[in-house]
Amino acid sequence: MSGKRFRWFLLLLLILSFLLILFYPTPLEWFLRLLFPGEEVHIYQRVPGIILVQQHLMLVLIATGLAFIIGFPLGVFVTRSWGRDFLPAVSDVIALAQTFPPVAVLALAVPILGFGFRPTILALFLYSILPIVRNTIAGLEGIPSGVNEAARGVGMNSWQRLYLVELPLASRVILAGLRIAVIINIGTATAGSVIGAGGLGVPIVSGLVWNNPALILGGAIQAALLALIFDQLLGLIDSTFLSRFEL
Amino acid sequence: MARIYVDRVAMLGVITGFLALFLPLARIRPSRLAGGNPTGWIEGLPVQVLALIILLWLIIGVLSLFSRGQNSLALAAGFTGNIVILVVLYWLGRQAPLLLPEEYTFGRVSPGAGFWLMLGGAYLVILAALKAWPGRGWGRWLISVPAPLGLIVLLGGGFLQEISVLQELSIRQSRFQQEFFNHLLISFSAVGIATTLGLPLGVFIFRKKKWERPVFFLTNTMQTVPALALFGLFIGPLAFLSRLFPLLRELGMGGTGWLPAMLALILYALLPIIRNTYTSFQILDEKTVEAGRGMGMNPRQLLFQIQLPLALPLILTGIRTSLVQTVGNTTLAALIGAGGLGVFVFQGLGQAAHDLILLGVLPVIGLAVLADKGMQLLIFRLTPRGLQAEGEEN
Repeated sequence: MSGKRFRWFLLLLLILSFLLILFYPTPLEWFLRLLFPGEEVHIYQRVPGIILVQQHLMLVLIATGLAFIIGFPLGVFVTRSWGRDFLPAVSDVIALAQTFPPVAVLALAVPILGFGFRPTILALFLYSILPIVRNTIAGLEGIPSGVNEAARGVGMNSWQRLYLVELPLASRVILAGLRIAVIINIGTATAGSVIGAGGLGVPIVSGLVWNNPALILGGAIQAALLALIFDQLLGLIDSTFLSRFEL
Repeated sequence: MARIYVDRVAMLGVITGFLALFLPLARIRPSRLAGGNPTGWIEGLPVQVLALIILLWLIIGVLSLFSRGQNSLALAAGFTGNIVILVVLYWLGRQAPLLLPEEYTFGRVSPGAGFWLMLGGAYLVILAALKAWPGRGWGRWLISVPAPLGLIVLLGGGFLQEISVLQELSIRQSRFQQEFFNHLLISFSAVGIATTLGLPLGVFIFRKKKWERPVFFLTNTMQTVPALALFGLFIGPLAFLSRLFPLLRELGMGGTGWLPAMLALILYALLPIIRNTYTSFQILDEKTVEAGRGMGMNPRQLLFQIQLPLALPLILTGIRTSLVQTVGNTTLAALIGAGGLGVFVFQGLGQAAHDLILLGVLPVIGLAVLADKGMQLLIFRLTPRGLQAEGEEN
């Protein structure tokens, strides 16, 4: 059990350091000043950090949430007997769309929705729906057929089998898909600042424009910490609540 | 009474195709930066052509009604789907100059929502046909080749020249060629270097287990750093270095440009290669290696004659992931002055010029898809016979 306790501790540590950087940036400033003594500005100050974090989280959570609301039922639909016709087509479209680069999807959203928050949501949504659908399918298809047979044998109808047997057994794989989606989105959302969506990409892009590596590193540290926090959090949810569904 | 087996995927494609007729075929824009007014299919195309398109869709519809389980009908439907794509493309290209009003000297004709939706519907029909036609025979070629081949002919023959994206291209032909080549050069050499580093590293951590954790920790953490930031992080140190050593600057290795972009891309490409190399060695059947050892092979022979050939498909899959990801990420290299197709994307975003964005984005997507398909083919060819039976084709 010490492994899991260590991971909770690590999560707490990550969250605390994230909050520290957010509300008390002086140590980070020292660190950045040590690394880049030549720069005048070391912490992005035009917009308060809390607002950037809030914008970033909004982008990621709304997009991933929408992707889950659409993607999860879609994955369930194509693995039911009445939707199975669509399984090959959906898998093919996903395999193809997965090769589209995130930046390309982001840039494509601009002609459709203009600049700002909404096209970024659209791009993140489109990109994160892929791992969710893929893993929902993989989780449900990966259940040994004997399990389903047994559930049918004890007299469960198809809805009961889905809710009581298949979804719980597939839940770990589905959560893994959600985890991938969130991590990718936290990274890709930084590129959203190029089209004016705000978020933690703002200091990074300013750093690129003003040629100031301190700003880039500051923004990168925050975004990476955020990704690590969500990675740990979802991993812990998995091992704490879902590990009992392991066959 | 014979039961009708409808191919529902193809049917969805047909419905999409007909719905597309109600959305604008094209947008007529007074200039390259202006928004446009939509033009429908009826105003946009000659009556005969519109009738032909509707007829083709009706044919696909009828074929799809009966095509489930009937391979030849599915084949015919898929082929007709290809024809639809080519007819729509050709006629949009041909009509484009006629659709522009006299006073629009710098006007542009862009494909509209209906155009894209119709292509999507045809794509669904083709997907359905591919599933109904298993194997790799001539039928597969008939379904999957005509549209891409026809697209190349239409592009090469200048038939699409009047469509907005290509007009954007003709303004900056030489720059496009240069950046296209740049993009290929940057992404392929980054993946090449990442492979030469990652492959030995993967084998190394397989043999020396105590290095496994630190290496994976480093590469995993690297992946959580946003790609955008990774490109910026080398600017500082490299600028510092090139100030110290003027020789580096003369070689073009400075804070901005291709060097930091390359470093970032290599670091990003490493993880899938290392991970897959490591995994492929790990899941290798111990008995096979044991048998080789029993035949008197030395460790070197074991590595090159047994382990590597058997591990090759999985390693190549890692390289495939890296390559597709790198081709996409190279777009960001333009932000730090390294060139590549991202130049057009970010210029386009800066000017709000949609055609310019597309001029950058469409080739990037095309390259990524091509790289993916090419690697898929290579993996299929290089998988040892003994493994092919169990591995699936996709």
